[in-house]
Amino acid sequence: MTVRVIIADDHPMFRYGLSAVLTQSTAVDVVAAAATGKELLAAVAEHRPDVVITDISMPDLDGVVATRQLLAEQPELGVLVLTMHEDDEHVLAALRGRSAGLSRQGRGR
Amino acid sequence: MDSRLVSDRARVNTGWVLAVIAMLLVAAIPFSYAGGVLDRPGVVTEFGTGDLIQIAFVVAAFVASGAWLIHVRPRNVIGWILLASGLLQGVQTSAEAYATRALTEPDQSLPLALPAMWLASWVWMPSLLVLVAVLPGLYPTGRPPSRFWAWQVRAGLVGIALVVLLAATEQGGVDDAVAGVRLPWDMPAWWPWLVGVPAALLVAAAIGTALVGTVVRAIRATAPERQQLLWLIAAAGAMVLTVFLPWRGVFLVAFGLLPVAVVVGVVRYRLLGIEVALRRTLLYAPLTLMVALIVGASTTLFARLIPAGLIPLLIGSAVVAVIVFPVAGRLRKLVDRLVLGEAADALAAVDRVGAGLETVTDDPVQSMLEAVARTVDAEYAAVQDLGGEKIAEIGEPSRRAIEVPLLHGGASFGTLTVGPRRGEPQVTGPDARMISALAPHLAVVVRSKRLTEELARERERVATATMAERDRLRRDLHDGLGPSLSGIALGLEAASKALATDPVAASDILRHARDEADRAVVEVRRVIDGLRPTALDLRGLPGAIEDTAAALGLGRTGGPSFELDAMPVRSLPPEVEEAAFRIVSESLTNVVRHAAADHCTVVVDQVDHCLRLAVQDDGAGISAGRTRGHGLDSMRQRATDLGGYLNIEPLQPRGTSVTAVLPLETP
Repeated sequence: MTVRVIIADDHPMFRYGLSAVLTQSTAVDVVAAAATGKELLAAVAEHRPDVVITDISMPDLDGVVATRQLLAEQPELGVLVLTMHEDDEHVLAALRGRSAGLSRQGRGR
Repeated sequence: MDSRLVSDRARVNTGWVLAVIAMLLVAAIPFSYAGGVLDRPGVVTEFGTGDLIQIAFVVAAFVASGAWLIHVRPRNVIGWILLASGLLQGVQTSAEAYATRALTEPDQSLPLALPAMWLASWVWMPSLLVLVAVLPGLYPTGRPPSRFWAWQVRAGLVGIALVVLLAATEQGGVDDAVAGVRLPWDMPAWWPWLVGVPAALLVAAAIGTALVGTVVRAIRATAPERQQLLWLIAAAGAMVLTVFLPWRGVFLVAFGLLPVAVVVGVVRYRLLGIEVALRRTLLYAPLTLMVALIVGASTTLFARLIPAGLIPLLIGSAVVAVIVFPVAGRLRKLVDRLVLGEAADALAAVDRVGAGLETVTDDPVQSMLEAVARTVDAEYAAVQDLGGEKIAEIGEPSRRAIEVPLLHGGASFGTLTVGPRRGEPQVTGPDARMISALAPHLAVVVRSKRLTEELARERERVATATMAERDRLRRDLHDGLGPSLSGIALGLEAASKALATDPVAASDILRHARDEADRAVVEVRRVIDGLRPTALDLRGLPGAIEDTAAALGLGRTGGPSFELDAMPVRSLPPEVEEAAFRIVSESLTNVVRHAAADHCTVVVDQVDHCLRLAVQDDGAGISAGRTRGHGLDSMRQRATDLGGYLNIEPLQPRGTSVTAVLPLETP
């Protein structure tokens, strides 16, 4: 059984690269990609993924707010939040108990 | 009374007690003379109610002034001198009255008759001599102002002691009140010579030096000592002027005012404005006398020639009018010099000004201005900067003030305005010279204050710009280059994995990654281009424009001439400054590249709340269709981004004008 994943990041190349890497794995199926928070919500509603990988800063709805909404609706949804700053970590502290993981973009996965 | 063992409170109490005793002695006089004592045989004295009032007035004036001075300055010996003088006068008059009664009492029942008369015969001498021979040398602090005066005071004291010794041992004086009274002893014939000659010499020398020395002191002194000495001289002068008048009462009033003037001189010399009083007196008394003399003389003269009616008086008045005004002017100058003194102590002035700078204050200009005002005793002083704004001020503005430019190193830093001395109609010549001499020092202070403020402002500006710059850089890296490079790295990793399994996909991923790398390079260039020009931080907007113009060859020989007219604009927001610089440098680049101009002018000024930039050249101009390109779009974009606008229009007969208006506050 494959893990159905949705990627959300406002930078096209990052989206593309991450999607390309995940596609290499047979265990992962990237079902959609979103550039904004609202697109993410729409994509989740449409595709019902197992895991969401999202950036924090995105246009119209940021990753933190989007994650909170998603988890409220689907507590079983796995959320992986990506960040580039250590500064953002305190923002994530509240989410950490509920999201599955926290990754720093460009370093580890 | 210099001992520290005696408390000030004890001194004050002693002073008042002695004053009361003196007044009680005076009050006892009528009782001594009561019962027809003055009509007894042998009594020479004449004594009426008027005499009693006079004595009471003088004694009261001395003891009250003395006691009050002791009250406020217990350790100043002047108060004790005044009190002692009054007390001795009280002792003398009351002892004489008592002795007169006791000596002529039919039954000789009253004790100590002769000793009392003996006391009265000499005690008046020290009471008066101490005022003229000793007091001036200790005035106003209670200590001799110099070693010279210390010797003068010693000479006076020894002289008075010898005078007292002689007067107390000789027969003279004991029979003043009652005829035929004699002391029970007789001194040898050489005694008066032995004591009297040195006594007379010492007292005369002490008095002479006191008089001349005090006048010299007053001439040399500066405020406030001068005012203090003037009080003493005025009181002494009043006595000298009235002593020969036929009205004894007037002299006694002057004599009674002496201790009052001394006390005022010691304590309140500034408050009562002796200068004003003295100047008016010295000015108007001679003038009045002169008017009276001239009117009298000329009226009499003309009355003989033309005996009819008012004409002589009119002519007399005309003569007065012609003569009085010029004389009054000269007299005023003379009096001013006499009273106010022009020998202001320059060293003391510099000292004061220096002290104004030494103290740590919030505002060095204000404290220095206060020092300058104190130096010339001005009631009003102010410093204005070049814009006419008052940056320091003391007192109420005076219309009679003089203005001196604050010059330093050939540049002006504002204006110093100083009003006349207290009680003066205008600033005198020497004061004006003093103010001019102090102005450059004040200019240095004003300049350093301005530099400090400018430095703080500049530091603030650069700090703000740096922060804004750093924020933008962080945003650029975070939103653009960071994820871009992460994406490339992820892509490369995916491609390496796909290489074996799916070469087509791998090639596709690699193409994506390379395109992104190209974009990243462009992005890096954009970020670098967007960095704030270093010249703005180092040289400010005008300096950065000059540098750019020079780098483009403007103003160089053979190239187009260049002129920058930049009005200083305070607290330019960094983004406005940067946009302004980019618009101007872009325009200058266009002028150099396309206009083939002979002359180029850049004007930077502030209109309302906007920064206005105008770049004008006399070159080929731009045709209507070419208002785009040449970076004109980006220039216009910069202006509109900040809520401003950019205008490009041809000039007549030739040339181009680029005008940009940028709001200084973001809307």
